[in-house]
Amino acid sequence: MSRRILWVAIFAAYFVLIVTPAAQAYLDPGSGSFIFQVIIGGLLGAAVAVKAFWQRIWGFLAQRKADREVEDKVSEEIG
Amino acid sequence: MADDEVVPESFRDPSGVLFERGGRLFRQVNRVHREHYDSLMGSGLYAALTEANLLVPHEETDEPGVSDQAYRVIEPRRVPFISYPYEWCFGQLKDAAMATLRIQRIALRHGMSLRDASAYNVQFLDGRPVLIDTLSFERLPENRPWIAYRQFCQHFLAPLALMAFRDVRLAQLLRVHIDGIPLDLTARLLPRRARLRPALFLHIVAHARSQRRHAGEVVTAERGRRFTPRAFVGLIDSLWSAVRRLRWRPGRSVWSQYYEESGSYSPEAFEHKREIVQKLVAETEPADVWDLGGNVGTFARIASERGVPTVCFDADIAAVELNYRREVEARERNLLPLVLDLTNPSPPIGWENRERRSLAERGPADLVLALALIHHLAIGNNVPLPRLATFLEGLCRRLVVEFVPKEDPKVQILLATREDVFPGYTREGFEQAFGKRFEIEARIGIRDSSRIIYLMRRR
Repeated sequence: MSRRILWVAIFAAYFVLIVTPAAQAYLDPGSGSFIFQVIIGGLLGAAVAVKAFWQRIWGFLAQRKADREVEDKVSEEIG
Repeated sequence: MADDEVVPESFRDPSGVLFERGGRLFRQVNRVHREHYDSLMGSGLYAALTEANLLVPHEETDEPGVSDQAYRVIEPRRVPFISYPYEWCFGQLKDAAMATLRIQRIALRHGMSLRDASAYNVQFLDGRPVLIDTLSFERLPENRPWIAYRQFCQHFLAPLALMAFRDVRLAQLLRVHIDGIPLDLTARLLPRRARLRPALFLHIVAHARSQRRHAGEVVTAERGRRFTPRAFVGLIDSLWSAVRRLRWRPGRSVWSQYYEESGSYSPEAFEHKREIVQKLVAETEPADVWDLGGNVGTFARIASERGVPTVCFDADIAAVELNYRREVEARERNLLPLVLDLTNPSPPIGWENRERRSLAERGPADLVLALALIHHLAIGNNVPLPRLATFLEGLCRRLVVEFVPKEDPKVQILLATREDVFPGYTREGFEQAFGKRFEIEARIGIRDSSRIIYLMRRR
């Protein structure tokens, strides 16, 4: 739960800092959705980068673990 | 050509048009969409999507088009029954949403993108959701946000979040809001705990605020080009996890317990009823079947398991959800469970009331099953028998209908809370009313019960 609250806080801060002020009132929600994506684009892109980074770390660790297991097995077999 | 009939659903799309000719369905690809269509076919995207059963397959034909705009005329595989999102249960809408996002992910890998994310573009074919609008794809414009983002949120994310967090019956808002549930309305209806989900907060609450704030702002070309491919992937990932985490489980509803618990039938009577329906379906060899008030699909499956395209309607969304889950688990291909209240069936809606068709306009079915239904409509809803006969006459060519007499315990329950103002509700009255509209072909009493099953043919 605390992680969720943290996320909401991050989003809220992001909006306060980055969202631009209101413009003229011609009501087409389409442009709002368009601009909204540009606004959150940085956040979404960063999320993908972070995810890719962690996947690489986990992949690296998993690979090292697998390598070590193979080494152990080989050394066992060689005796 | 005089016998061509342009399908009214497709009138908005400048890139092509859907039309019927000689009982076959075609889609004209307009010249203006040439580049995108060629990319779809040439990039490997069409092959990837049809292989994964996510896009309706088509053949290119030599048929002439319906206008001088034609670049190609294709013949897509026909969907046996067109259904609408307000007739789907939670699981169906969620699966359609996930399919749309999967399609978009695969499209991005092929340098293309969906221009629409309309729930109406998804239909159930062989039991699974597929995109039916072959012309929804465009070559991905560089660094531009997703043009269909708002539509995806309104058509899928908003109703799913409302169903999961507030009340599953709110899916019916889709019947009023044809372009999906407005996000400001959704944000107002969602409970606080839904806002604690980061993705829902972002794509619904903050999105709605941004719509209000930036409404009418001119998006300059330069500003519109600040959306990186990585951000695009992040957007789809984020929507994906938002949808995936939404869940709804049917509670104990009255109807879905019907067969298991109620004293409607003795085991012998139930078995005999099943045998009768089996026999009548086998004898009539229908091209398609609608089971009205079909609950969790026990009798609809008699038809669908014979390979007959079957739609099983019920007013109870929990029963439809159970039916759909059962169908997905068993990988059934011929059954489509749908939500429908027969006392207020789907009307024609949209532009000129012709964009989405009514139930009757999507018929008639070759065979309708109306089992243990008549007493609910006649006594539970005060519909006179002659009107019931007229209603059913408009929906089918042949009818298998069960008459439940007044002395039946189920009818007694209905009568316990109302005055018996139904003197005409007798076997004779039923046969007389239905006899005016239908020719009675067979009349079989269910063993160990006072109920009777009729086979009728429309006059």
